[in-house]
Amino acid sequence: MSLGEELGQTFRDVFLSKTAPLAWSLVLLLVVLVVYYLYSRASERRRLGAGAPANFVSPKTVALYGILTALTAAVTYASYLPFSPTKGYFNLGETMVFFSALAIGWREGAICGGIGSAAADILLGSGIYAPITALAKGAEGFVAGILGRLKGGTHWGPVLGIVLGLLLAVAASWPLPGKVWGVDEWLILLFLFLAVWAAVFIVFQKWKGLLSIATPIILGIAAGGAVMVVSYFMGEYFLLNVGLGKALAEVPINVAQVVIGGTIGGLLSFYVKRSYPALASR
Amino acid sequence: MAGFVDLYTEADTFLHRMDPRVKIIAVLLLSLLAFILSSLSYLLILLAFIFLLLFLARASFSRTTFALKFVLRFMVLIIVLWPIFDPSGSPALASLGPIKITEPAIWRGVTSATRVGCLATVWYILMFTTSQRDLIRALVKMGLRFDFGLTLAISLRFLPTFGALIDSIKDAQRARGLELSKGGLLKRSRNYVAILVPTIVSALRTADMLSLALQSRAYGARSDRTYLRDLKMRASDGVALGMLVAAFVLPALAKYVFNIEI
Repeated sequence: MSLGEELGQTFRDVFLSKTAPLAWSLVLLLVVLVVYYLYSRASERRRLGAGAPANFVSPKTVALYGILTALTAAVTYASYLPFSPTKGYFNLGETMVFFSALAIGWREGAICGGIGSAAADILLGSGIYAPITALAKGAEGFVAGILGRLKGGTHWGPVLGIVLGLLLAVAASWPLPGKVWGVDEWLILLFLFLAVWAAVFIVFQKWKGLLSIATPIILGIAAGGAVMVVSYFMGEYFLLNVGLGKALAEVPINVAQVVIGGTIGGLLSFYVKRSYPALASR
Repeated sequence: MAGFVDLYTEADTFLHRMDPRVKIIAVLLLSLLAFILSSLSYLLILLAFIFLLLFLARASFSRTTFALKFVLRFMVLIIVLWPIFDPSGSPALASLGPIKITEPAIWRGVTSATRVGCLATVWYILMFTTSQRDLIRALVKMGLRFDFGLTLAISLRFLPTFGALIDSIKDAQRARGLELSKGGLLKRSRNYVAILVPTIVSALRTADMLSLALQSRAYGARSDRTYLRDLKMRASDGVALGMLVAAFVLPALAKYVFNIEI
């Protein structure tokens, strides 16, 4: 057995067998501790330079981030629509994630989208989702913000998007060892990812003339949406261990949320820039 | 939009007086404990312990039921869907084509649902007994940068404001003839554009004003800022922290060092 295979086997034994939830939570704890250590060291250094002007981020940034986070949570909360078939819920919080990502920038999309959506989850009584939501929506805002704001990306944008989508799909699905109904799990996830990506992409291509949304924005929404749907699936399946059925039941709602949220978010980024020109200069 | 935003209930119990840092650590450790425990009976004991704490925190009945409604639906759904997708184990109770429902799978579903229940309710110990101000103060004391803490505080402070703003803009647009409760999901969502555009523009104006207000109050002038209310660990907080760490470390040792099945 080669070294690579052995490493793969060890990885599977530790992270994908019965001990998976513990292993992953320990990894998470380790990451939190490292981040905490770095922060405390930085704040120590600040305290040493006492009396000097503080090295804080600018008040404009503080205000904008705070307001966008609050707005994301408030929109999620106000447009909350219980969805009968699976007892999940449908909301328009996605619009604010896409709006922040497409109109302002990927940092705002990732940070405000992630934290705001997680806060709304806690307030709506589903706090168990909050960590997964922060990661999933944050990643969505990040991807949509980076791909959606490519300048003149109409030629190589789709190619880049397809390559990125394939890479993400493979990265998300390769380590799954189990079988369900005689089919490999990783095949199911790979198929799921590609299906979501293609569905969102095709729907938006069809609406292109109607919405006059440029190709990079469609690409950003499709790739970001696929990342979000798959993050939720992985989080529910591995971290919370809720079973394949419950994890799959969420997928259609999440896809609907991406399609509708993406449409409105794309529209908003045009309308708001028109009625608030100070934003367009960013 | 009744009962908006703040889950905190004013009371004077030992959980309210406890240092918020200890409560944050408690929530993290109890969540990890739920991942460590793998048998149904121990998970049920943990769930009972969490409910005991909620009871001792005098959580108001209506808020608890609001919070638990979602969790219960979630748990029922897991129990129903788990056996359908997990055909392993025997004896089989029923089978239909490729779908086989077995007894161990049902128990696994119940166990997983109980674990999810623990993870979902343990949050409320923190949320019901800690005000937002104390929570952010504790996070800053634990090493979060002050400016990030301030951003978080701003967003929590403006949440109800924007909730009310969205409501009033909704009413104003309805008075102009906007229909929000008719048509399919797509059409209904599309109509929200008429509400979201004024909301966002007004929010961005608020952000501009807020940054001026921050500057005029000497935000970031000195790095060694002081606070009116400082957090101090008392002896009772130390005892609580020690008990919590023991409650997490002992089961972990039993399971992973001494290989006792729990």
